[in-house]
Amino acid sequence: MTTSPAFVSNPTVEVTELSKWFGQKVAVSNLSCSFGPGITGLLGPNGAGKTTLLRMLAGLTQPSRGQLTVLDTDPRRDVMVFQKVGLVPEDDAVYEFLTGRQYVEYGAQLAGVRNPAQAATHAIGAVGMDDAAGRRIEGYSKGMRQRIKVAGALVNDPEILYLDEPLNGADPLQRVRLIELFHSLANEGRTLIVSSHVLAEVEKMATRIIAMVDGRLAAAGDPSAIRAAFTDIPYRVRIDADTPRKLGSALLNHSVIRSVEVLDDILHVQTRDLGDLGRLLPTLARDLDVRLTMVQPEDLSLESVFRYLVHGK
Amino acid sequence: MTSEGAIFDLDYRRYEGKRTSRTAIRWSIVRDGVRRILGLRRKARRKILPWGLILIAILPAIVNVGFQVLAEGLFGADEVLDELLISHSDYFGITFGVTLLFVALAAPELMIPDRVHNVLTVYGSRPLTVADYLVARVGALFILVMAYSLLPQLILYVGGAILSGDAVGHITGNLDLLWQVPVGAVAIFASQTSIALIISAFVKRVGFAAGIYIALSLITFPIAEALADASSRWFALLSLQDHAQLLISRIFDDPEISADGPLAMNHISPWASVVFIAALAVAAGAFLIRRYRKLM
Repeated sequence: MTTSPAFVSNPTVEVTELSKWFGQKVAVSNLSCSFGPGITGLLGPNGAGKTTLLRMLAGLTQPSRGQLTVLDTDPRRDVMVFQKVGLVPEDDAVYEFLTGRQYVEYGAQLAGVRNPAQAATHAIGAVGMDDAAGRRIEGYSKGMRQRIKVAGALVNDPEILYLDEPLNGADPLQRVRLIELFHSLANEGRTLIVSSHVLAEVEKMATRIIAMVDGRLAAAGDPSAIRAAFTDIPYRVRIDADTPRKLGSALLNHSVIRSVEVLDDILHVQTRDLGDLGRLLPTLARDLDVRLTMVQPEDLSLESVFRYLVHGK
Repeated sequence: MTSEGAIFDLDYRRYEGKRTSRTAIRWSIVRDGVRRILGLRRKARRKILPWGLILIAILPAIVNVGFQVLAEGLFGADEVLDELLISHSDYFGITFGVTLLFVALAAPELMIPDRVHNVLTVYGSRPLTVADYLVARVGALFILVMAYSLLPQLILYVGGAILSGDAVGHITGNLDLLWQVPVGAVAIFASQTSIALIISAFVKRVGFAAGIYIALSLITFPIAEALADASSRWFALLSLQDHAQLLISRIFDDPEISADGPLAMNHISPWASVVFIAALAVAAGAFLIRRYRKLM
């Protein structure tokens, strides 16, 4: 049994040495990983291969090489597995001339739902579109279109949900509500794979990250564990103190500190070991009679992790 | 107040009902296609063209039957012919042009919106293959083109039965019509839709695709005629709109219907026409599958 963070113990979606190339361009290269219940964030810069991977998982693009299984089924051999899958594509992908309800009902029919009207009512309710469902989609705002697409993906009660930039165009309130909805779906044991450029939102949603760069698997796991794996990049820590220069000078005498910088009376230090710094700081502050008001790591965020992955700095 | 700030129902209720078969899923695409072509669930202006063309197709049949029923009422049965003024084979000839327009409208309307609205991803991520999607779309076109060809024929048939005063005798006396008319409608569908579907798989605007198809149908007639005259008579096969007329003339054994066409003029056998139409259909099917495998 593998212990690599790229794999989960109870996978619902698995890819093995998966590759996809378009002519000379390699979009996904030899990717092996798995996804399980809960929300997994799929990260990567533009052109990293995220959308191609999602399209392969959703049956929209055939892999050039490698295997993929969805719910223990090869979707190329049995397309009926897509009855249990939902996709929110990045594109608009809606018939503008239909009403929201008609669109969601049609999606239910395409997924083989026997009572599409009932299923559509549930899905439309889940995204808070009851009032607008009778209007044509051409009159919807971008956020409303996004929500009706989510309803269209939910209408077949999917065990697996692929979400490509699902919060595009949604206003702040809608974003909060959609994230709550995704959490509630994940808590029911569904697998959600979310691709997004908005790292702060992925951070709010995902407990696990799969990061891709140039079509390859760049990192996997939870963001702080990925950050910890960058042993050659020191942590940056912000320290608010009443006498930052005095504290900074003293810190420089300790090997755990790599550099010290004071900007606008805020002390920023770089250290290889957060634990050692955490033990050193209180002692040093007491000895120097320096009052600490805040100590905060500055680069544990997903954005920092992402920056290191993509740019290596 | 807009619905933008509505409270969401976070208690998502799972769908616990039954699932349908893949065949039922295909039929839902067929139904969607029929609705789309007829402009159902669309604004009123989207209904004008399809329903206007349907009206044009059935109007001569209604007028024909109505006129003779009316004349019989006014002048007595003995003074009026007890058969229709327009025969079934003539009616196919009368509606060739308008059927061409219907196909020119229907095929692009069926295929183009799925591409331009990026909705193919919705089909591709459902339990469907590319072939399922295409068969269902072509099935919708088949149903409507057949209905378009058969509806006025049915009006004529029923009208003929009424005028004859002996419905059973009319049916037994015209048993051939029961195969001739449907086979004629199939000939129209088979000969007219392949090119329309290929064009619709490329062009982004419905009106533009319809225009290209009509122009191609019309222009191939003189081109085929000229090439057949100048070179091999087999070039007559390129006259796209002539095939249905040739086949219907043979089905009804009425050479007049296609007498002026390049196929009849160059003594092309109806079987050669059937082979040409079948080859065109196979090529169109292969092309569409290849094209939509890239798109879906």
